[in-house]
Amino acid sequence: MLAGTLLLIGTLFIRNVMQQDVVRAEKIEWFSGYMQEVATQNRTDRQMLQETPLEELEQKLDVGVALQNQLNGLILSIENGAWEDELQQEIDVYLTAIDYKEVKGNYSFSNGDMDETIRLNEQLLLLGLPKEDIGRSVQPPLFIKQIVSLVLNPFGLTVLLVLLGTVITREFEDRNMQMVYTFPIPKWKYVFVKFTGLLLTGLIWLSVLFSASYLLPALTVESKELIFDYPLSLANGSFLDAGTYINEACIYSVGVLLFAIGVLTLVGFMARQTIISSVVILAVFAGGWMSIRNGMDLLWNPFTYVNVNEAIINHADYFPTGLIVLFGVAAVLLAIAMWGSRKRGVS
Amino acid sequence: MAVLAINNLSKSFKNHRVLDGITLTIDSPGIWALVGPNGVGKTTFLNILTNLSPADSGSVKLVGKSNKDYKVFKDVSFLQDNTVLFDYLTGYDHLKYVCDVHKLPSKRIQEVVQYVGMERYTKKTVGDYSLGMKQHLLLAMAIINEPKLLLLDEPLNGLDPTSAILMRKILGQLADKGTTIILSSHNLAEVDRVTKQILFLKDGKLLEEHMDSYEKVYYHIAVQDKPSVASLLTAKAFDFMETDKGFKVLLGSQDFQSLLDLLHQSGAYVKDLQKEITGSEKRYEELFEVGMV
Repeated sequence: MLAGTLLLIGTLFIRNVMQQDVVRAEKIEWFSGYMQEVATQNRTDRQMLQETPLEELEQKLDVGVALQNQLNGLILSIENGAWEDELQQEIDVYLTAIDYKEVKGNYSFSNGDMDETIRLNEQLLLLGLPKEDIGRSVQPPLFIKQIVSLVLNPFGLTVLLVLLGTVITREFEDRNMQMVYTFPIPKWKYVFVKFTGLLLTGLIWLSVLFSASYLLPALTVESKELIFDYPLSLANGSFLDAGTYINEACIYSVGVLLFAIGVLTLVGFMARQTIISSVVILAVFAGGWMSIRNGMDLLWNPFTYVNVNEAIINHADYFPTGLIVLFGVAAVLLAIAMWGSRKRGVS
Repeated sequence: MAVLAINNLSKSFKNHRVLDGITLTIDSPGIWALVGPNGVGKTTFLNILTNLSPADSGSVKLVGKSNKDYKVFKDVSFLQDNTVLFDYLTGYDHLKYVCDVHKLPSKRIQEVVQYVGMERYTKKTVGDYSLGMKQHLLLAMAIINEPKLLLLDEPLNGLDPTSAILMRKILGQLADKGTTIILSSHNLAEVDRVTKQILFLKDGKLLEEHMDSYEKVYYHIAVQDKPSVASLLTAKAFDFMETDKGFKVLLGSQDFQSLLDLLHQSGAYVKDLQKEITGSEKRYEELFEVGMV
């Protein structure tokens, strides 16, 4: 499991390193596409103006030409690697694009997205930080965010639980528990010991996950100054700095792990069979995921936090109450598992 | 205080009543053999005694405490079949675990290892153990806490002669020291070598019987001069039958010394002399109506 995690982190990091030049090329290609669109509209508007002079059309053409020039300037800034110019130019482009849309020009980018980008760029300029491609960054905090999004979600947790789940069920299937239950130890204690053991294993895994995600970029790539202040856009329109994001991600991960191990312990000790246990865990987490997708991402729903990245970005106001939910549900699950095994036989 | 007190214990699987209102009290040390055909419910009975399986009704007290109280296992050990062992752990790991659970000093491991004679392979993983080695380990684990009540499920099953002899000796010594032992078995010859106290499990009922009245002692004698020995055995009214190498002689009213005197008198060269005790087999045949088809 640890080897797989390290392999995933290593592979993703190498991919990100290799994508750094591609990011710039893609940006140029992307803005060139917009520039082409605007240029085409401008050409059409000019022709129409020659045929029928209209004040509205003239206004649109004026804004369109300005937008085309700004896009051209933005592309040049990207090509030159002048990131401060790039950020400012992008702000200018979007401000003009919003005006352009007001005069009935077409620009395939929503006003909301452009607003958000403008605010982000302003924030970055204020901090003196270049813009990063969040999904392909090699900067430590942003790479951690990418790993958190990729691994700490319902799918990743289900894989983790199915792998860890055999620790409980195999001892029932191999009949080891038949022997263990004839020792002078209360049965609830076995449940608690298994829970603790699995939790420790999970915590080691989390430590490796976070440490490797931090160390790999930190040791191989030059970190930018103030990179832990990098602003991350939240769903409520505000920003969260990357350092705080990592802190919350670490704390939520522990909470989610507690909850997940609680589910695993309960299901493992009740089902006592690897296949049944795996199917139930899969069903539980699939059901949880579906509940979130259907608007049940409420404060009290522990599955709201299973996707750690989404919990932080979409529900900033749930922190830290969400942790109490996770800890509470985990404690209840553990208590049910301990109580349920109290008088139950094993053969 | 009774070491084992069972009151009206019942257990059914679907429509099959495995245990039918069993009541039994054992309050002295010694060895009891739980005997019955395969599938009669011997293992189920032991599992219920140790609360590994729930009973439908009735109660069980082990060394004065309910079997549902985990603390009974401080004084009660259950040797189960060897599949319960962790294949990936060593014998020492198992013993260390049991030792820690019972809060015993580590030196107890050495004592018990020497006692059951498993010094050579304690560091090997159980997956590499032979059947006999596994039985030794299970026995060592079962006796490490010097239990007052020792339950054993088919402990002599599949053992080679050396291991079987050792197992019998150890069980005898434990019983002499005051341990109450209940062992299940379907090997009547082995049972007869270990105990005369039998608990026959039949139709869900437990019949406690002493085999003294059923016990028979035979001597297998291999001799060179069969005719002269045969005539003397007939003359002295010994109950005997001829075998390939000599005779199988039943000691009835005569004692062993009379048999030795007879052999001496015949002047025959005795190549081999072996004792066989039977008892439970006869009773088993009666109880379970074993007949020739």
